[in-house]
Amino acid sequence: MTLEQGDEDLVRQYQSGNARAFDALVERHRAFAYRLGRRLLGNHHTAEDASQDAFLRACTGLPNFRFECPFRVWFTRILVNVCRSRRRSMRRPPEIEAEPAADPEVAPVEMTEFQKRLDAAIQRLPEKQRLTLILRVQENHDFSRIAEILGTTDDAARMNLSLARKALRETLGPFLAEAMP
Amino acid sequence: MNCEDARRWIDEDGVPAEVAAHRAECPECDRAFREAERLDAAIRSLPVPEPRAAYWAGYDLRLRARMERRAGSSGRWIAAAAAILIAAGLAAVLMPRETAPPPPVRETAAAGPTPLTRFMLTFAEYARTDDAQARAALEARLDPLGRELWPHLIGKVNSADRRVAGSALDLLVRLRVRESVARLESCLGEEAWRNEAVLSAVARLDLPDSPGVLGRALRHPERQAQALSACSILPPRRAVPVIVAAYAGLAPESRAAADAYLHAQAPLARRALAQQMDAADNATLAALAPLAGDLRLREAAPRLLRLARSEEHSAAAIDGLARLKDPLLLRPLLDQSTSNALAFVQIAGQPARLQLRRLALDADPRIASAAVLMLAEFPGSETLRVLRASVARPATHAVSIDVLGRIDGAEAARILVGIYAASTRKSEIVTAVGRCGVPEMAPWLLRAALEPQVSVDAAREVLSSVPQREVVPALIAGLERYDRRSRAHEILRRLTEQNLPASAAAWERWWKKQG
Repeated sequence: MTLEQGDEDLVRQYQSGNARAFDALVERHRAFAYRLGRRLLGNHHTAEDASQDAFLRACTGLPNFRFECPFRVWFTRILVNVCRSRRRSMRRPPEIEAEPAADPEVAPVEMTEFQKRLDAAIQRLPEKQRLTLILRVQENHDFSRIAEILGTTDDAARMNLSLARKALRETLGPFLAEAMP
Repeated sequence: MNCEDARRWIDEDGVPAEVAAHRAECPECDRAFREAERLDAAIRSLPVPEPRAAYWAGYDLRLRARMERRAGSSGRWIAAAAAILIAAGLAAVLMPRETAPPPPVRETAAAGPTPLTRFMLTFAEYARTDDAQARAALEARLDPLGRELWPHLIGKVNSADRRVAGSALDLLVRLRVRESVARLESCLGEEAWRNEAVLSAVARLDLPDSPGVLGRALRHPERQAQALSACSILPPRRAVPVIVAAYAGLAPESRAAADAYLHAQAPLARRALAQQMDAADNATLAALAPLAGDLRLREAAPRLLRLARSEEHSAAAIDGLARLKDPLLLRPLLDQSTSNALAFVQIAGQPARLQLRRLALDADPRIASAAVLMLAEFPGSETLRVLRASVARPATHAVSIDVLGRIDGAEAARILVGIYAASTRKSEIVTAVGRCGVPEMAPWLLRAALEPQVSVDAAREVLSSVPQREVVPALIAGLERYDRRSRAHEILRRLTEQNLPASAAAWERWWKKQG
């Protein structure tokens, strides 16, 4: 059984009245939701809030889910929309948490100077370019899926990726050559 | 496959064998691919903090609590929040920063809030909520009022709060009021995020004024990237003419992104480009030339050929013509200017070189001569094969001798020696053989230099390239032959600058003294 088939089974069970099926969906996708939220919003607490908002919306929408796309794509679309709304409410791009160890439940990570610059540059990209870059490069979605998630076209997704790469090269300039000889 | 075609695969999963082959041959493309791969690898390697296992138990509990709270209070908080806002008199704070006078608002006879107050309060709720069902309910309340009160949303688009601005744009897109497009244009400013959101909304509206607004944004250096991104939301038949019309003014990085889009919409782009080029001045035409070439817009060729005559824009015109990948264009270019034709062949590559060799044997002597002259820039066995044939033709005999003399190597020299006996241009042939720089030809050059049909100047020139230790003894020996004495004497005097008599003994004494 593939992951998507498993999701569909769980969705059908939930639609038939089995509330625990939704718990299984949460358990299956919460790590992904947190990770993508973290990448899109750059902050542990906001990422948790956003991922939970997405699950709440999914819970509300699941009775009307028509299996026109895989659950994961549908859920990603919701999550991305939640993250977009949250970003809009921020006055400026979020600061990257260099040391999220303030929360004992999250293992700390260490970033090189170049990684900090790269992360900050990604966060400063225009919204569509940033979303496309993250979905394509970090989440490995193909262009048609990205178009589906972002409500755009394959060509627009390609263009946004091209613009994002160009912007990163321009912003990082010499650091890029130094860090990636 | 050319570089342009190959690089379109940079963003794709896996590449066909022909792209891999091109990459192996083209260092520039290989570098572009590697740069993208390295950047992607760096992005993928960015660490994301992973919550510890214990975190998920708490996560599930918090999510469960939120679900229960929501199930218990659904629908009540919206009304409560609105009531609190009204009670606190915050309606005035929620009034928009207006960019133009809004339409008059009809006051209701009842003592309750005015339609504008109701509208703005409802909008405030709308902007705050993420819940899809709640938003849908609020939209149903906002829609009827919005038909009249939409100008007040323009002020919200200018809000510093991105969430408010985004919600106002979402609502304006939903309302689809034609006049809103022009008003949205006035919201464009310095902030990239707002410009992106506004232009995206203009494109989503897709109303008659939308292409005009996007076209003007494309001409603004600071808004090109956002405008291009927004254009891709429009239907291609509406977006392509806008991008093509602004193409000449795009910055290089925006032009690359526009190229990617226009190539994906090639049939529409060709049509729009043909119309644009019909009305373009020379500077615009020059900017559009590479795009016309890449899109294989063959009907652009006559205009580009005319443009190639202009000194200022000839390079762009030739670039565009070469990208059309039509070797038959070489003939009119040869007719026009050898330097333009040469640039064309250098850019267009192998097919153009093949055509050049064909034209070297053309029936038109002017074309054939010009083509032969250019062959000197492309030496090789195929060129020598053509020159062997062209040197035998009266129309291209002289120019072929000259070109053969400019090609280093024994084969060119052998071709020249082969035609020497039958040719009347012996001086030119001797000079050309000398220029071939083949040491083994020295004895032949010594013999030929002493023949009376070869001019003294030509003989002196070629003999000056042969070492004196070989030339002088041969010329002194020539002094002893009756038929060559005067020629040998004259050349000896000019080469050595010695004024000795035509006596072999006198010259031998002098030569021995030189050691």
